[in-house]
Amino acid sequence: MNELSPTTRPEGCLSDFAFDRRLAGELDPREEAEARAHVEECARCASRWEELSREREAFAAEPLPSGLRARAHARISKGRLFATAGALAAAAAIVLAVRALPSDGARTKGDDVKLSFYVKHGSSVRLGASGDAVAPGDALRFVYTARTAQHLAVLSVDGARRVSVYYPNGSTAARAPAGADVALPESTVLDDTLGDETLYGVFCPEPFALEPLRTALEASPDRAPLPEGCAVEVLTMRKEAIRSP
Amino acid sequence: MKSRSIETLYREHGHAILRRARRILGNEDDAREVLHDVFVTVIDRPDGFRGESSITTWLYAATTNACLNRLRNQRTRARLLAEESPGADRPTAPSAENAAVLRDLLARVPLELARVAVHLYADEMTHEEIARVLGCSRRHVGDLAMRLLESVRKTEEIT
Repeated sequence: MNELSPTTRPEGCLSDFAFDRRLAGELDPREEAEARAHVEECARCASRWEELSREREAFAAEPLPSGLRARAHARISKGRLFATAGALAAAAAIVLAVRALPSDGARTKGDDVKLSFYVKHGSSVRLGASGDAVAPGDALRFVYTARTAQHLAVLSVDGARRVSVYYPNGSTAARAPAGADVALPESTVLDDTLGDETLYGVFCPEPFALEPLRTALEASPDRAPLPEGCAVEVLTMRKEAIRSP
Repeated sequence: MKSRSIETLYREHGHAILRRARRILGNEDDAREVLHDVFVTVIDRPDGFRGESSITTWLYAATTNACLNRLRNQRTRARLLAEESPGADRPTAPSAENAAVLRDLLARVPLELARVAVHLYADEMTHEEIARVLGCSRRHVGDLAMRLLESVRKTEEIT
């Protein structure tokens, strides 16, 4: 595989992210002063600032696409912030099949929490069931239930024994307010690693770091990470290749 | 979120979503679909943005995830790789070859490393900026960057 070239942005110059924040008026006074001073003395950044400013102006002349406008109006007229069950399905919620695992004393599932998921395969959405198969390219959407507020993370061990943190981004678990069938933001599209994949939904009353759990799973992929005082929901799915007709 | 607010958000921030999606995915059609998908998310789940970060930061993360979902979908990835071309005019963006190498990488490494790879190689962000988008410490970004390099090296050893 060819190596990726190092960054082309000179040391000290502004990234597009910094420019986008500046265009949005999100820089604090110190950042704004530094950015202004740099742009005044750097030809590269002055040019890039002009270019991105023009790009923003040109795009701002585009109307909101009619489909998005209609969707926004429909949302407002319903007077609800969350999608209905049918709309949730249309938004490709993913159902994870929950398969009961033989008890080996290493997993603990609290009665007050639950993790499940929906699977979107092509244009169809289904609530998964124990033992269901999924396919590469299927999209998953996790849904949790918690009687009390928790901190939640979802980790995965795939068919190649690789560990990933599916949710959340960052280094610590995300806050999960109490609620029933609360959908986590964003879907996850399954890659093409086949085989059995195990998902661990870790619920804790206090914030917790993700790296120790990831490290523990890498060392022992078959052992549910269980921080003290926490509950773990273990789910599995069987990822199979899509059969040709 | 009111319709007028959605329109304002679209006009003020859509350019950045589209630009980044073009750079990551390499073609206009897929980039436009990501733009649409991100705003569907904004409309359907307005609570997704809880004000814990700026709008720009939140949209950067949402765009990255939407692009990665597309790339990691096997069918989409095969199509994108088959269509590999220099793409849109990007005077200060990585070269077309670099972009193709990056897309291949993004489809193969673990998701959390793919996010970092996007911000390092496509966005050319600093570690501090990446930490802001990911909502983690700068040190954790450094750790992820090291793991990314190790993952790439291991893949090169095998292939």
